Amino acid sequence: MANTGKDGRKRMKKRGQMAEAWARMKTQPIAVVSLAVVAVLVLVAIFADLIVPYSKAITQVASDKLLPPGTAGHILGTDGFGRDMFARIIHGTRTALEIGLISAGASIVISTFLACLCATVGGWVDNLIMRFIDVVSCIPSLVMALAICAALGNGIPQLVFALFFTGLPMHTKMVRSVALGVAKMEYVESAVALGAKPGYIMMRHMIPNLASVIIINGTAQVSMNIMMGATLGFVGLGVKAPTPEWGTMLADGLSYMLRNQYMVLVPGLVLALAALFINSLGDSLRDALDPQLKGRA
Amino acid sequence: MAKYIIKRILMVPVLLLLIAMFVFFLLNLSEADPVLMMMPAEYSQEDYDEMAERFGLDKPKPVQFVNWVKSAVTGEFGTSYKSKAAVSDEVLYRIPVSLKLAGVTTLLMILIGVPMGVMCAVKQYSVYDNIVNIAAKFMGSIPGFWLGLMLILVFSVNLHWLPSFGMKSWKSWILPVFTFLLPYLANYLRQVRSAMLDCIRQDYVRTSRSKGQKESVVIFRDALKNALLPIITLTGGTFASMIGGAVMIEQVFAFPGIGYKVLEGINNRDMPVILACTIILALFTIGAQLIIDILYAVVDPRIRSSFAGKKKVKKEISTAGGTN
Amino acid sequence: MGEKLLEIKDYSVRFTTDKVISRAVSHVNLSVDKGEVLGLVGETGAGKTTTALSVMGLLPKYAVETEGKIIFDGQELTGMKERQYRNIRGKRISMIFQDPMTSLNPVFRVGDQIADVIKIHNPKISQTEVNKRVDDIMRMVGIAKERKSEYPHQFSGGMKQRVMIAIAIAGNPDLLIADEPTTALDVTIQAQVIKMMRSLQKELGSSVILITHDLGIVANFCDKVAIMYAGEIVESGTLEDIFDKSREHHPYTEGLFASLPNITERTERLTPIKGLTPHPSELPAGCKFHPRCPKCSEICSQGDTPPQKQKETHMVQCHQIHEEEM
Repeated sequence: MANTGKDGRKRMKKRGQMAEAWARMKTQPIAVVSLAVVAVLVLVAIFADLIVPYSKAITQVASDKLLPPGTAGHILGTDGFGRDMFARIIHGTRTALEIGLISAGASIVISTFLACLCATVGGWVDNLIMRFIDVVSCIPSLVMALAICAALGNGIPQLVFALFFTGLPMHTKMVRSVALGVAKMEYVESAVALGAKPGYIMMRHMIPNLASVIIINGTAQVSMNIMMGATLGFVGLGVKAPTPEWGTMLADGLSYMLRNQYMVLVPGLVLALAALFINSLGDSLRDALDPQLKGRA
Repeated sequence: MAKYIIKRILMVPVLLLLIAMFVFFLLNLSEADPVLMMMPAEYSQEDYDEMAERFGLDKPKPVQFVNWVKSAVTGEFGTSYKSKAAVSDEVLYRIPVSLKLAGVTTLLMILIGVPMGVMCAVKQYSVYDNIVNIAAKFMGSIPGFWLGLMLILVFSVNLHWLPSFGMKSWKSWILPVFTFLLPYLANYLRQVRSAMLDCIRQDYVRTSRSKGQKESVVIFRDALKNALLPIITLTGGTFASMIGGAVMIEQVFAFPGIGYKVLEGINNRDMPVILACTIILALFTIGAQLIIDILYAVVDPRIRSSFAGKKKVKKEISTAGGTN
Repeated sequence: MGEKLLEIKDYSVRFTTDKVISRAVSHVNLSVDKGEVLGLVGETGAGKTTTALSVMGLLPKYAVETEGKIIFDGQELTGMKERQYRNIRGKRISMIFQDPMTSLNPVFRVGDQIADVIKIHNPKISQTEVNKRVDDIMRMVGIAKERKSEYPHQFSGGMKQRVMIAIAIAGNPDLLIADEPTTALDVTIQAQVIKMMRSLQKELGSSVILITHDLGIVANFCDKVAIMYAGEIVESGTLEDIFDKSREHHPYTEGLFASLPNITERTERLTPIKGLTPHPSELPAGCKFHPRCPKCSEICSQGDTPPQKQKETHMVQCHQIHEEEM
């Protein structure tokens, strides 16, 4: 009984922490702008079909090849296949966020689970997981993602899996180091002493305490994965051919780069800006959740 | 310490073997038949069998792997499916190129990033700090390969100042190094800044000031030596991620390094080449990690004495005390 | 006693964080004579350390406003150029910080950290001379000179504080500020350190400002005492003025004494001061102590700070005390 009371209080405190972080964030103009831009990105991704039909992004119109930006009906021009650049950018947003969010989300869920397992169970489980991670993290992440994509072939699910797997080691390491600290806390030790099962400790004690590190790393991972997804697309190992995707658009533009510079300029700029604002949102979240990190003189 | 380093070095072959095994497993998830990829458009079953036998691809997978390991031990790293030549001849000469690219970039990153980051920390919230911070945030979000393309457009295509690809003269290094450097430098100096900020706020910095120490010595000796610990970790971590990032830079600038080759190998599903390149890249990562650990012990006396037994500590002190 | 060495005149410090103004120190008047030991007593957050850092010129530069004057040996420290100030720090005024665990630089040998002070203020001195002086100072604070090539992590807490003291006295300063020098130490070590500081003070003849919340240490060590509460000096005087129970005292001082265990008088329980020190951004009007004061009357919560009542060396800042009764 005493235990539930304690947890109740702890959860309230946690909600308080999130509310406090939000209050801190609201006062920072950069944070608000970043949040707004990311919100717009998400809305564009969700309502892409309302903005411009998907068919426009994939239909090849032979007569409309390489129209410059500003042409009537093609605000950003058309590519080498006569596809509307604007439609491809908009639907590319959906692809990018889909890839980034799902892969980063999966990485975080699984790595948090693994990290908590390491921290609560310890022993050979911890050893096995960590040794595997030691081995895997010696392979540069881009090379690993490339190899997985090469093995599994092109397509969004394959790409998501590659990015998910690549992000796993670093996350597990980071979350585990925080989780180990939490596992040493007295309230966790007392719960263990009272006979609580690892699963209970994980849900009740670990996850709430890991929330801020998960949110911070998660945001960074989303932008990293969007960037890496585009990188893979750029070398031809990402999504399947007609799917609108920023990296693939860059690669398509490569052969026309000398005369039609907008074809590499636009998708790259969109990619860079998306990454910038997601990163910036991540930084603001970190400052808001962990004000000591920001610190004052 | 020496014992620890030797132990770490002895572990390297085991680690490499495990990495090779993992990559081999990963690439075999592919359903594509490597023999088929090597065959001309028209071929007979006999041709196919002959090709499979020539590359040992008729054997079971574990045997294939053992054969590759045997070949790797002799230094040949198997035969490339694509060029039919020994992988070592195609890969080894690229090692210096890649090391030079990553090395020069890392060096520049340290030389520019540390002073700039330290200045930001010292002048926290000043105009300089804000400008550098925002610029770094921006630069850190630019995908390296796209930046490379843009620089090629400006400096090679439009201005004709610098070559856009290959490795002809020192000029060929400018764009790749710059492209490589910028995003990493941006993130690096921001992290140096925050490491330094942590140290500047410490009590011992105040103690140093209370002695009447000059501010420059307080910052660049007393605070920076402490900040070196996180900075070393950062530098090592950045170097490790650069090894991966180099793949794209080498690709964009057609630079004959390991990264270029690994991508070529992946596109051709050329297993021996991929394995060899991955092993070499992993070796770079492991080497960087080892150097970090050693540097750590050099800078931090606490770590040094955690390695040494009590007797050794005394000995070190008495000899060091003599030179003091 | 003799000449005035340090004089703090109507000195105030305000911090601004997140648009919230904190009055850390307000209208403080203090003076220390040559060879004198002043005890600065108060709870955590009373502004003792801020006052000490002001004398050292080490307040953070960011979001800080100060008012009033600090005069040291005829020179005005407030507003002094950094270059000039550096010649005073470490050489003429030095400070022992509260936490020896974090105040020593972990990556330098302790001998070098002591030698720094000597080298900074004597640029032309030879290395042999520096070594000799370091050895002398280490002997004075009771550390074997062989340990000078060790690093701080190899020292215990008490030994670290000895190193801190060695650093502070290495420049042979006229004024030594000791900011709770024993708070972070074990009780048994505290006595040793205080004993050593007292003999060092006699040997060197320096003036000392001892910041503490331990009245026992004050009774043992100090000539003069100033009691600080919420950034103000509420009572000051000689050791006799403050420790004489037959006289009138500030209710806060009385509270401090009442919360001390007493071996000679057998009391059933200690009387704590009720409530907490207010945060410097939320100070009450009138007397800052009135919400916690047992003698509080209506006048206490009104207007500005209560008037200071003075009788010879003894000063009390309280509405409830009248000069004729002191």
